[in-house]
Amino acid sequence: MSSLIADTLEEYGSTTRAAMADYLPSGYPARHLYEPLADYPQRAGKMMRPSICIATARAFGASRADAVRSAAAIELLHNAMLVHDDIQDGSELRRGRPTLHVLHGVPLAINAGDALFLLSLRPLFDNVGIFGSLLGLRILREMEQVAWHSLEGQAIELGWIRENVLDLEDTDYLNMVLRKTCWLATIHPSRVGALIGSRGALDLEPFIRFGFYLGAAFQIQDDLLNLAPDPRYGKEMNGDLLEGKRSLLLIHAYRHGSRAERARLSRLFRRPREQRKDEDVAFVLSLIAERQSVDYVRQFAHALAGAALHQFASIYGDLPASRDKEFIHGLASWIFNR
Amino acid sequence: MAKTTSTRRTSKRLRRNDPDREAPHRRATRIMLSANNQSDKKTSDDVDPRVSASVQHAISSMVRQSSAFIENQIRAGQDAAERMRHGMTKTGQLNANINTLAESLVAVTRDIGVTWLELISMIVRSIDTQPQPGGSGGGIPQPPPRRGSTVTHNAKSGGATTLSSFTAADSEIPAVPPRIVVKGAKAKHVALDLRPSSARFVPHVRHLVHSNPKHSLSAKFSKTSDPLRLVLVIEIPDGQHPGTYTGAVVDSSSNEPGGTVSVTVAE
Repeated sequence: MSSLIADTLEEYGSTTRAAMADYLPSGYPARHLYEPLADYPQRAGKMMRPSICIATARAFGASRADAVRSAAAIELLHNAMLVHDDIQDGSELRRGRPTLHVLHGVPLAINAGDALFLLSLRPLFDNVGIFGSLLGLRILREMEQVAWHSLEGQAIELGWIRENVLDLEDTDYLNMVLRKTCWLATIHPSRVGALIGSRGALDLEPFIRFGFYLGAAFQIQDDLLNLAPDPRYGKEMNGDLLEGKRSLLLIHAYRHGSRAERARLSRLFRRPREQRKDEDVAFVLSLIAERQSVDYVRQFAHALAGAALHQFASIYGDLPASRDKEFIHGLASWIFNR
Repeated sequence: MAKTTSTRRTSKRLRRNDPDREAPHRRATRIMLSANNQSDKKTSDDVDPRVSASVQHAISSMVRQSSAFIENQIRAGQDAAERMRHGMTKTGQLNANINTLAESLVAVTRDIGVTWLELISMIVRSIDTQPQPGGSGGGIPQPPPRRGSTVTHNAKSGGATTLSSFTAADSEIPAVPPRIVVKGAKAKHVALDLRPSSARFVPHVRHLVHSNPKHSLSAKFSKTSDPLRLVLVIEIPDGQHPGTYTGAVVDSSSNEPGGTVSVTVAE
């Protein structure tokens, strides 16, 4: 199963990269715009989002060529957000290499991110010419909606960090991760794939549930991976803790901490990131271990993945067996084995 | 788009040393994979006895919590789209209803050492499994009310279509959607989404309001001879202003929110 996932991600990832390359502009100013703009799309990423889009479209009967423009648009939008996320988080590594703002400075990186946002629309305009205005505009509207959700989710999380909010419930986290992660990572790609595959005939609501369960499990597992030393991960270890990211781990640890521990966490995250020391990270890690937050969070992720499989059966169950159907089904366990 | 800010490099960053192993050690996934290899395909009624009751309960609670959350979000999105279609512009009122819908259930958590993905999906399937009625003789027996889940009932009353939905917060509350009785010829559609947080919840509907605050409607819950079945009665006068009216369902004594009502009045 894991080779099916890896092979499909590789294949659809290559297809998407080739499509994106067609849209990457060149010319003046190359060094200060078009080269920085092309950097993230050319780095090796998982390509999960565009692969979900293509696989869903094909599972419902479309061709790869039908879906590839939308897949490219999704990945371009994702990269645009990564550029800005890395600045907002103060991250130094992305996919194993320095982040764009570390390489080129914040002003140029912001500009390149803005350009990537605009560039992500071009493949969707081409959709209109090929699918017709009705379906083409529906896909455009979906993209506009997902961009708003992602921005809202980012604003929620950044607001928590800015206001040093730590007293959060699991549903607060789910609300944030639904907007920030799930819509772009899993909900939108599967909805657009279904739109393309069914030529707009399918009810798209069930994909919200499926995408939410899968995307939330994916994000929770991503947060767990940030604690583990793994060269494939590509980001700095414990970067999320340094940044004060309100992961389910941190939320659980805070909720179960003593009054003194909560006060210490609050003081720690009130300080700017550059003032947080190794012993601060060690304290947070020891609190997470003592409160068994990793076990709780891992259990939560598995529960969500199980719910995703349940939704998968109701959406895709009647489709004929295919590699694409098997790929989508396999994602629920792949997120824990990647 | 992001504003221009300056970044300052930290003097120290944690860095990974090159790993001295070739594969990550992830205990849970190893166990999942070995469980997948060992177990045959199981039915939803046949959860592996290796899963303790506490694990099942914790998983069930997490899934219910997440499920209730996403259903609230979907409904809020539908309500928002419906209001926008009818020209509602008061974002404050919209946000208040969304916040009401987004109230979470209390999650019961237990710490465990090990989980299995396939077994968890079986637990999830078992949550949705309806008990099969037994019995002999003629007729089609009605299934007993589902507990700890959402039950919806579509019907018609007074010329309007009605949708009554009941989500039980826990397995102690029988999920029996109230009957909706509509009086008046102008009603087009009535939707009730009832989510009481406890068995002691006594529903009460405040005024249903239109985007134009000059217009409102009343609605009232009544008991019937069946202690499990409530009735929501809505009277719509002939001259009622058209559009969509919405309101919160609250507990009559604590004012704790527990659902929403919406009524669409025709032109």
